[in-house]
Amino acid sequence: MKYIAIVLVLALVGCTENEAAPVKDLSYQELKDLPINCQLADQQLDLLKSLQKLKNFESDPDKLNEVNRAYNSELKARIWWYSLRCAK
Amino acid sequence: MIKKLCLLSVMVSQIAFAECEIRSASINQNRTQVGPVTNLVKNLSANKCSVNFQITVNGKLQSLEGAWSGTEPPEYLCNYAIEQTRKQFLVTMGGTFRTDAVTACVEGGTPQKKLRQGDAILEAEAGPNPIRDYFVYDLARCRLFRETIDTVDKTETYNGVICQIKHTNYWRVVDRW
Repeated sequence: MKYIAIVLVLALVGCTENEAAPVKDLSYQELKDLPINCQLADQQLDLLKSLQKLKNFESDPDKLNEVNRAYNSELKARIWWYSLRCAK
Repeated sequence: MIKKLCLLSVMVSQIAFAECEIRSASINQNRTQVGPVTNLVKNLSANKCSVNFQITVNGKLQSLEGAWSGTEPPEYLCNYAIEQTRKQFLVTMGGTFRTDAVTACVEGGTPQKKLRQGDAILEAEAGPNPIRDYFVYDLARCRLFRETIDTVDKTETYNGVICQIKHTNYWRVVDRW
């Protein structure tokens, strides 16, 4: 019985780990504080693109207010930085 | 008859006004008279173009020299060198002439064209970015660009990425922010 319970707990933990973690909505400052490092490229790009999806900004910067435009700029600049500097 | 003529003239002036466009303030719209580049001498070395040329500013001939370095094709380096040298010179001269913005009516298109995501352009239409390296994205050659748009009350700066359309001289604006 004990073993079954342990197996069940482990299975549940395993399941939750496989699910995509919800994206934390970072503040502008938190975004700016993210590390920029080619060794973290995959992980950082996943995070940045998830944030981009979450924010769902207009592609035309003229349609964004000042706050959103700054956030969008920071996001895009970081995403392109990885293409520019970390090409494999 | 006089009444009719007056009414007609008012109507014509209204139509003419409607066809006007307000030009944003820019260096070409102040009272500075800048002539074309003359006596241009280009000196190309590895990844650098030095230029010597003359322009007439408010009737006075000015000799200027400048340089631009980067990984772009030589012709672009020289164009950037001319453009930056000219701009820099005009900035330093800024206090000597009247530089208040002029609102003018012009016929035809808008004087400053903003790039749009998806536009197909010539590379030189997208201004240089401080990061001048080319990189590969989706097997295409790309670079960052920067454009500055002057409006009546402010100057806005945009950044973006252009990538060369395969086997053509055209570049696509793939992102802009």
